[in-house]
Amino acid sequence: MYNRAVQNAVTGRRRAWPDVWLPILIVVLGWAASAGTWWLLVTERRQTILESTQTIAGESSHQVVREVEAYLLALRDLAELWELVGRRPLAHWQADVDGVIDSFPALDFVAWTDSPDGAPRIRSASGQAMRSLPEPGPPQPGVDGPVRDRAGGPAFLRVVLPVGPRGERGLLVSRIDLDSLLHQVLDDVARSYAVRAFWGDEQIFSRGEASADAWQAWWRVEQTAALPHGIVWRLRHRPTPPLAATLLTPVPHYLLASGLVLSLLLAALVHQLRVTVRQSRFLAATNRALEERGGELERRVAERTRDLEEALNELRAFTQAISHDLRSPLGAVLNFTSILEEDYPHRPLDMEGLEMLARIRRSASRATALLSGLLRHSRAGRVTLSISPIEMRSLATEIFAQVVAAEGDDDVEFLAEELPPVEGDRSLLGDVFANLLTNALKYSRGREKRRITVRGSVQGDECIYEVADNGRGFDPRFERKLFGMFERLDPDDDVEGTGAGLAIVDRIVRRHGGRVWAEGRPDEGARFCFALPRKQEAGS
Amino acid sequence: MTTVADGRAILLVEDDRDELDVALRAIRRAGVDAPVEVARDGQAALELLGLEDGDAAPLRPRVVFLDLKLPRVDGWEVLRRLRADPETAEIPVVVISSSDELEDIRRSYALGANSFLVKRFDRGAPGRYVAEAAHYWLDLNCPPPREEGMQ
Repeated sequence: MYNRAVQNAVTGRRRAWPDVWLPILIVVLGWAASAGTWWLLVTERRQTILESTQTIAGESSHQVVREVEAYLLALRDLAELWELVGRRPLAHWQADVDGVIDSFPALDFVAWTDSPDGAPRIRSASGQAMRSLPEPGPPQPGVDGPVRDRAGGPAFLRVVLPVGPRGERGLLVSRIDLDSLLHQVLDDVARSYAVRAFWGDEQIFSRGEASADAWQAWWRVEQTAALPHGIVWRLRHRPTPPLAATLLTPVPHYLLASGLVLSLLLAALVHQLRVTVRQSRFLAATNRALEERGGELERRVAERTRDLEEALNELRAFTQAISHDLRSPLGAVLNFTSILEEDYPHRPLDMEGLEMLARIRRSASRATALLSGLLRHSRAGRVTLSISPIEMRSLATEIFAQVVAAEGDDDVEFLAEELPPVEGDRSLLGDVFANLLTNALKYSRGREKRRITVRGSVQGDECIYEVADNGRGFDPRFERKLFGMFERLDPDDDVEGTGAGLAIVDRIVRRHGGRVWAEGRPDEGARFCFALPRKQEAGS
Repeated sequence: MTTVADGRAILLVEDDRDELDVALRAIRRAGVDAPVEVARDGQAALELLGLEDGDAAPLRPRVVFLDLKLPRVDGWEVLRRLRADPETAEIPVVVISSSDELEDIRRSYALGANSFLVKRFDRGAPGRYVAEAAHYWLDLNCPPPREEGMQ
């Protein structure tokens, strides 16, 4: 029992699998939650970056459009001025141009021509000497581009404006250096971004180094800038590496890492808890088993003690019986033989002598009866019980017939009522009836209308049996003494007996786990009762 | 309270008829001239001594010869009751038992026995020890003075 309980607590084959899956489940769930949180944070961050980049790009585009419009307006103002003031010295024209170029530094040059072949009358570039027009042939009015002096060179926006409604005063020819113009605008607005500008398929501007990480390609924002004359530029913004480093905080990654680690820790903790719980269960089971064992040991000790006490009592009763009771009849034999020797040395036995011989014989047979009673009592305590179901009524009837035959005394009415069946040793319970019925016969002898009744009933877990007579009864004060070894309530010699019978009854009944008692009054009959458990415990 | 005029009475408490006859015979043979009252069990002895609800005048014997193993009330109980009552506390009690168990002897003295005799089965003079004891307690031993006698 002990081993099984402990083993269940320790191994618990059914518990082996859950022991593993719970920590695994915790790790999986923890990691999933961490990854989810990480993804949300990263997405949120990307959204924020995109939005701020879009804001910057919108601002850039707006500024670029305004700046280009300002340039065009300045050039148009110049053309209108020339148209208004009409012919005047070239030096004045030159001064106008210089003034405009001073204010708009991205102007590559401004020139005026009124010759059919397009040779300029004046030309001015920002702080430089006059240059010839880059394109051969007469210029056409309009705004277009991008134009380059050489492949891969800087890109320009070319502006050719008529001076006078139909160009009757010539043409204003100018170029805007796009690189310079865009630098001027974007250095202010989108300082931390790498910006590229495209006109059609051509890249017209590039500044800053974009973050090189391939997986950050998503945050490139392209914004169109719609300029006058149907010109459309595309401005492509990307954060520079320093800005990227600022925006891309490592917080989500830290969270992810701590989530993973915490999940592992939690799983380990749970596992440890389960181990602890299992250990405490094991301890509890061990404790229980030990307690059970302790209880069992205590019970066994109590049982042994009871057995020992019983044995000791038997020994004591045996000693008492030998010292007190057995000596008396033997002493009588010795005494009367002495008297015979003394009184009848040389003469034949007379009536008194014969009486003494009879006494000697009676004492000897009494000693024999005492010995046999003692042996029967001892055997009743030692013999192994052979338990079987017993029909008590038929047993009582059968035993009564034997007792009547043995006593040679059938002048009695015998009533056997219905008796509950019981489990017990048939032979020993037969002895019980034999002793009780013999007593009933003996102690009712000589009475009128002798009657012996056997009754029985079931009360709770007990079957109770009773042998009642209408004989001389007894003083209830001495009820307990009745069941003592060789105890008799009457000194009178008219009832034979050794006083062993009820002691034997008591012993047999107690060996069956039952109890005995007697009820009676002087001259009002006696009732001897015994109670037996309905079921005998196995192994008792 | 009146007492039987029994200055030399012996109370013999013995349940076994054979023992009783032998003892009585020995006392008679030895010429002890004292009345012998007999009780066949402890209950009867207590009644004779007036220690039970009895109507008879209580007996005040010179000595009580008391067997231990008795029906109903045993010798020890008689002894205990005898000693517990001031009227009978000083009556000499001689326990006569077939037992020579030390425990029985010790217990008897503890309860106030004055003497303990083990029944003897001497060849030639059965019961003589009883007669000798009677002689000792009646003729040689000075009984405790009685209150009534002193007044």
